Amino acid sequence: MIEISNVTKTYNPKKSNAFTALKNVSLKIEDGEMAAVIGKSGAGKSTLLHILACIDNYQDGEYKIDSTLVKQLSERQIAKIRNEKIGMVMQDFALIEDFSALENVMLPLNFAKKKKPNRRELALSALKSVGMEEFAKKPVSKLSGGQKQRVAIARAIVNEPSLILADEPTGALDTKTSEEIMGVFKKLNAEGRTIIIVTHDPRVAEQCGRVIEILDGEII
Amino acid sequence: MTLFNTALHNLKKDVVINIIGFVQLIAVFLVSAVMISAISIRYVSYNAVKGFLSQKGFYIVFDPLLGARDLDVDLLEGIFYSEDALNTRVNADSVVSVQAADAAGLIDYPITSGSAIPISFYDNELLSKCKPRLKSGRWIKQGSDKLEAVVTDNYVTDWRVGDTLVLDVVQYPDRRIIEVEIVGIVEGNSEIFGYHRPRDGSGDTFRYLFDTPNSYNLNHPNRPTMISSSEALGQLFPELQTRTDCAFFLFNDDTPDEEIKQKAMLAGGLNGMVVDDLNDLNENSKIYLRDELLTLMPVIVILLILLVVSAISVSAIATRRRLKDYAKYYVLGLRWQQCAVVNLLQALITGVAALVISVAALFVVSLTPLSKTITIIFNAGLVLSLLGILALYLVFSMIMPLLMLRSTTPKALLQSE
Repeated sequence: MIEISNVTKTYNPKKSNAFTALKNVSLKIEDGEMAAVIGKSGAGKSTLLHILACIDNYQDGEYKIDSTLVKQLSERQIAKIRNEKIGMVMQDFALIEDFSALENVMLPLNFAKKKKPNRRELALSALKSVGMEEFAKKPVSKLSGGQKQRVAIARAIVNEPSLILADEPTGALDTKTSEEIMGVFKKLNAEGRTIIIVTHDPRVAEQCGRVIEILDGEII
Repeated sequence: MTLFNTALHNLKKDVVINIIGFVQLIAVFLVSAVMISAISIRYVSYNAVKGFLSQKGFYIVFDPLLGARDLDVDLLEGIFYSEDALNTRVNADSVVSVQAADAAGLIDYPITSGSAIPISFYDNELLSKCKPRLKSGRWIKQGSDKLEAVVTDNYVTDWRVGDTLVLDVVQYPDRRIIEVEIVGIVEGNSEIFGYHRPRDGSGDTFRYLFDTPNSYNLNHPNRPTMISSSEALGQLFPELQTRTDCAFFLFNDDTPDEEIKQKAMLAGGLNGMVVDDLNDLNENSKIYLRDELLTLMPVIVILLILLVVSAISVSAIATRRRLKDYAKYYVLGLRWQQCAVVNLLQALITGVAALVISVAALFVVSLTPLSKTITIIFNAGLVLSLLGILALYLVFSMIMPLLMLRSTTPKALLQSE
């Protein structure tokens, strides 16, 4: 379960250009939920997602993953959470361009503290689950947008995280490809994974079981 | 292992910039090795005789040209001053000498007239301290039951380590037959104690005490020279009288300087003897070594600049290209500090590869005729120096990556174009 309580995030605190992106935000996401976070540009959606992904910090409040308070953890422990418990999918795919699809998907397995002996097989299985097995050896620079996003999703799920976070996953894709990608997310959710999607696209939001709207840094 | 693979991958992908850095580093290693060897050779020779030069006393050399000028009854004695005979006159507390004889011929391998093989017999102290570089075999062992010798490699014979030579040694007015076993071959351009360089008008240093046999044998460039043990000669062939070629006459610290000066004058008055004060030699030696280092300073500075520039620029360019990838690694579970480790590993792989190739190249050079021009001394000093250069390279390779990683965040990089 994901729980944030009264979280406030201010950029450039104590400076003249200080900006509060999130104000006293509280949110609970149960296991197995598929939720969309919507709002206009600058509302605080991505800030919220980055905090959930443990790639950004916050000044006040509490953020718990499975009852563990994130702020009390060491850098090493937080890195482990990012590796094992969270899978992240980004709008620009965030793949290593000169790696192959397989090499990209293997990265979280290679960065794990306890390395599994069958990493290659696990990566191939993840690619298969998103329909990209035949492209395993192809450099991602040679893939289409939709194919890249599928590889990014495969990378996000290869370590079997309980939480998948997606930041505008269909933002750079056409309508047809967007529908395909959403189909993959729905399939993953049906398998029991918790999915939180940040989007400004109402058609993506309406496919999620829950919609969370943010306006000026507050959940409305 | 994963960080290592990531570093290897980065090196392959940024191949041009890494090759430039690699070649620069090899150049630094090679030039440094040549310079360090040049310094090392000087210090090896100085260290061999430092113990003698730092004592009170003087050094004498028998100059045969001086001896030959006197044609009176003292001439014979002048040519054949033994160590005891000299010290009877000088009365030093101890004498360390090189005794000399000439092998006029070999029983089994005749040598033509006028090209006798000079043999230097070292005292035990010189045997332990003044070992030249050997091409093969080993140095003379003290306490052997055979007369062992090393021989220089500038010869037309086919002598090998293990050969036993029967020599016909000149001992005026007589000759003696001795047997010598060759245990080692001296490297061609190795400097040998007791072969003297031409005098330096500005003040002789320890370098005066050493020279290569080639320059000694200007008239007979293919004639070998031998080094053996005077103690072994005295035990095995006691009837063979030798002459003192050169010697340190050493005095206790409480001996008045005036007394030493008078004895030096006495020694200098003997037929063919040339005297140098040890303190003068030592002070001149220290000045020489200091000046040599100062001469090399500009080269050292240029090398350091090249090393630092190479390390910083290559690492900065490589990090800049990979910064956004590091942000992606961060999202996938790598710590930000670990990305700096990837850079360090890249520098380590490049540095170690460059070092290995440089050492291999130097080793190859040492086996070729080029080694007569470029002498490389493979010793602990060279290894430590090259490792020090590698360490410096690694340190400077980390400066820009650390600064660049500190100046940004993974989130900022992910959100950038």
